[in-house]
Amino acid sequence: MNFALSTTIIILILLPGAIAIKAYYTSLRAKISDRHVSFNDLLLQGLLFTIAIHCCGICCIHMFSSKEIDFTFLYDIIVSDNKNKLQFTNSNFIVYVLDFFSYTVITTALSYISVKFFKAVVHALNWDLKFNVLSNANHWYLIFNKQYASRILHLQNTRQLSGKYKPGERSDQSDEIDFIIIDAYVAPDLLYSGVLTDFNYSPQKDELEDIHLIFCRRRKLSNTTKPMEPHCTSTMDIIPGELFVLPMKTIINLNIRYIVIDKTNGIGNTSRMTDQLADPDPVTPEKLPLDNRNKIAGWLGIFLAGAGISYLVTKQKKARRKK
Amino acid sequence: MSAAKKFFSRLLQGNAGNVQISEQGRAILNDKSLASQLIDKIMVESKKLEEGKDITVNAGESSYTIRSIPKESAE
Repeated sequence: MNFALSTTIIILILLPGAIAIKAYYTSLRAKISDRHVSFNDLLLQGLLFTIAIHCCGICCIHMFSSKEIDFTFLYDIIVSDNKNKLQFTNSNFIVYVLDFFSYTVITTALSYISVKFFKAVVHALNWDLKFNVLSNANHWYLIFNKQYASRILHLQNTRQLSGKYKPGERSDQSDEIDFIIIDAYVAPDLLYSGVLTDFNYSPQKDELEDIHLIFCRRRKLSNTTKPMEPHCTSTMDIIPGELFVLPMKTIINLNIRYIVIDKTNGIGNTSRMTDQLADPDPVTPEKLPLDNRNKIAGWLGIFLAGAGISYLVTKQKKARRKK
Repeated sequence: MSAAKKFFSRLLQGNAGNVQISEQGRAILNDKSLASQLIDKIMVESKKLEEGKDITVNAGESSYTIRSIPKESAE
């Protein structure tokens, strides 16, 4: 049989698993996505998922539809090299092609939706931070994002969510990180420091491409007055301008500082500026953030709608058959 | 409505949410003189933070305490 045709069919068969993996590890924003995996590797990595999805799909067809799956025809198209063995009429072929494509589209779409739903649940329960297997963002995003920062600093919310910290503990102080200060060492002896506002990451190269700093200062290490003392890094030059972009290829290493600031009014009350942080209720596993709950509810809605539609379609088909 | 609005605004904003800056942090950074004052203080006196001491900066009627993150909390 034609090599291209059999290859196309094999790719289509393997597609649901590959899409499932792609949906879990990538995001619309490249900065969040995990490192890029080529399409060939995706097809192989998703093999187990593909088998599971097709098993479910075949079971569903047997349960809800009267159609018979002609595996012999599929096998002959992919494997057989005997042209005389493969005989079919034009109308027959059209029916087979339409059935096969609709099955592929439905399984791929369902695997995508179910994986996105699973991803939302994983994020809502912070399992991506607890279990490395479920982690699905690149390491730079995690380092510059509050969730990871909270994890490595073992701050309040993460501890409560992971069950290591009882609700109510340390509730006198909010532990949210206000911003991140970066010290970037650039050869031969320059140290740039500033508040991190953004970064660019390339999933293809698995590299941080550049960092964007505001309130940037520059120090020359060679000007250090007491070189043996830590934190003694000479006088600072203020870099004029709104934004300072530092390409990573010039940077030797980064020092990251997570800054937590408390504002105290004249009376002596320590307060945070936001209503969200002023909320005295601690975050517990039972009380997940509203964003996550909405996400889960949305995906659940899509699932229920899909299940409802498939149920109605099956019911109609059965009614037609009875007629 | 708010969830959909948030989703689309996040989608359109693109870069928002990539880097951790809290609402309070954003408010501080919007006030250039206050932010410069705080950041200079952090950079000059970072040794204090390492030693576990807090740094206090007075600005107008308010004072800001830059908190050191306790080492013993790390596992």
